[in-house]
Amino acid sequence: MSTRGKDVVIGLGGDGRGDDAAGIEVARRLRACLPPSVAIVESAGDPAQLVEAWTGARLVVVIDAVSSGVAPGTVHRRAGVADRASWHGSSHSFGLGDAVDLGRALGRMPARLIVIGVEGGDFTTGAPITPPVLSAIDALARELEERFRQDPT
Amino acid sequence: MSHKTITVGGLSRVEGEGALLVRAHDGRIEDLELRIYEPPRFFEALLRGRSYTEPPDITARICGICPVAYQMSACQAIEAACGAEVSGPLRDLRLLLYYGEWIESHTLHVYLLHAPDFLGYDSGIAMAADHRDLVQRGLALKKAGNDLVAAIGGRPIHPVNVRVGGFYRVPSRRELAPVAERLRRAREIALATVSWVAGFDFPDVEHDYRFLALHHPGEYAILSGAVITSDGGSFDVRRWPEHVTEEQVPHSTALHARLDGSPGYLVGPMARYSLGSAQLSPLAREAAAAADLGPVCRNPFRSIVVRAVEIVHACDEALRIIGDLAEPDAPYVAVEPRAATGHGASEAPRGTLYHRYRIDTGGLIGEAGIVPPTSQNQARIEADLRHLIEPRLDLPKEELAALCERAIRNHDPCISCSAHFLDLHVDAR
Repeated sequence: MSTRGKDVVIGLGGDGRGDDAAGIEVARRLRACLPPSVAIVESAGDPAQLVEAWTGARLVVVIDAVSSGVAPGTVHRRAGVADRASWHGSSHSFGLGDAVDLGRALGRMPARLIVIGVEGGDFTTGAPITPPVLSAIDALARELEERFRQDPT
Repeated sequence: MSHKTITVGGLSRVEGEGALLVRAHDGRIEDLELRIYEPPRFFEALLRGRSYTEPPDITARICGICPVAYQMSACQAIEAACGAEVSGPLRDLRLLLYYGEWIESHTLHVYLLHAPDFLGYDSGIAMAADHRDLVQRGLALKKAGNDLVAAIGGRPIHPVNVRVGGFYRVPSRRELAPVAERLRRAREIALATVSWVAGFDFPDVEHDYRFLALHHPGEYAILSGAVITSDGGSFDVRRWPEHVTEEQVPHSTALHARLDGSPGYLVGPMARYSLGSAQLSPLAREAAAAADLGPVCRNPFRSIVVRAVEIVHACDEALRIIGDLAEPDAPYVAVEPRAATGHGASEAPRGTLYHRYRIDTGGLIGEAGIVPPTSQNQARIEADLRHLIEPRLDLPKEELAALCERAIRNHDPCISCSAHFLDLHVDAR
C-alpha cells in the first residue's frame, strides 16, 4: 500500500503485555471510523516497516506506550523526534528512534511527524490494559478522528 | 600470571537483552557465561487453563520477529492432540505464510544486523548512510515478505488470520497475484544478495557442530517433519521430551537444552542447510554452489550466506506454491478437543521450535511446554565463543569484545524467545 501524499496513523506496541497495547488500540479505533485516505498501520516497532509505512507521507502520527514514571494515562506530545534519545527506550526490539535514524539515512522521512506517547502503568505479560490508559486511548482516538475529519485532504 | 575479564554488557543487534562475561587466567578461559537477564515471560504458565484454541494467538506474542513460527508449532501440536490433520491447499497456505516470515526475518538479519559486521559499521543505520542503495534493496526484499505475510495472515506483524485447523479466511488467487509479482522481483534481489554476501571476508573458523533440524521427505523442512541430527539420529516429534531436556543455569533466565544428555548442539539455518541442502529449490542450490558454500557449512560467519540462500529458496518456493495453489473447500478443518497430549515442531527462522500441549476433554490446557531455538543454541554459542577467543586472548580487550559480539550475532539469537528473553553487553577491565 502506497502512502505517498497521504496521512498515516501508526500505532506501536503489542498485545498481551498490558498497557503496551495503547498505541495499537488507538490505531484500531481509528481504523473503524476514518476514511481510507488516512492509512492506519499497526507495528511492533520494526524500523523497516515504519520507514516503508511513512515514506512520502504528508503527515504521520505515531502513538506508542511510554514509561516515564508519571501517572498512567498521561498523554505526552511532541512534533518530530529531535530529542531522539528520549524515545529510545521502547519495549520493542527496536525503537522508534532507530526508525527515524534509518529514515533520515535513506532520505525517507515524512513531511511532518508527530509522536504521541501514552504513559502506561502495567506492562505485565497477560495483563489487561489499565482503566486510566483505556480512558486515554478513547480520548486520543476521538481527538485524532476529529482532527483528521476537519482536514481530510 | 595474568588475569583478564571481558564483560559485554548490552549486546547490540540481537533480539532482546543479554550479556557476556569471560574470565581468563594465564591464557586459559576459566568462565564464560552468556547471561540472559531479562525476566522469563511465563507464557507456559499463562496458557494453563486457557482454551485449546488460544495458543496460536497467545504464543505469537512471544516474539515480534517470528510470530508465524509460534503459530505454526502451536497449531500442529494442538491438532496432533486432537487427532486432526491439515493437508492440501490449507497446508500450502501455511507454507506460504511461513516463507513470508523467513523472508522478513532473514532479510532483517542479513541487511541490518549482520552485514554491518563485515563492512565495518557499528549499525545497519550507519551502513545505510554510506550504502543507501544496498539498504533500500534490502528493505524492498523484506517488504515482499511483509506483503506475503499480510496477504495470508491478515497483517504483516502478528498475523491474526491463523486458527487451529487452518485460517479464518483464505485469500483468493486474484488477491495473491500482486504478491507473486513482488515475489518475482524479490527473488532477483535475493539472488543478488547471495552474490553480495558471498564476497565478504570471512574469518577462517570452523566448528565440529552437532546439528539438529527437521526433515520432511518432500521438502526442505520448514513447517513439519521428523527430527534428525548430524550424528545419524532420528526421532518423531512425539519423542522430543525423551531426547531434548532443559536445565536451569545460574547465569541465565533462559533454559539450556541438552540433546540425549549432551549440551551444545546447534539448530538454525546452518543446521537446516547442512542436513538438507539437497532439498533446496534448484535455484537456491545453484545460488549456494555459486557462493561456494558446499553441502555442509561449519563456519558460523558464513551463516549470512546460508540465510541469503534460504531467502532465495523461500521466494522460489512461495512462487511455486502460488502458481499451483488450489482453493481449499473450507478455510479450516474442524478440530474437536479430546483428552490428550500433542507435540508440534517447525523451523522458525532461527531454528527448530517445539510446542507441547496437554488438553482435557473440554479443551482446556493443563500443561504447555515450549522449547525455542535460542535456548537450544545458547550452550553452543558459549562453546563457539570459547573456541574463538581462547587462542586470541592477547588481542586488545575492545577487539576481543567486538569479536565476541560478532560470534554471537552469527547465530541471530532471539532473546525475546529464549527467556521464554536476551540483551548483550561487553565491558573490559
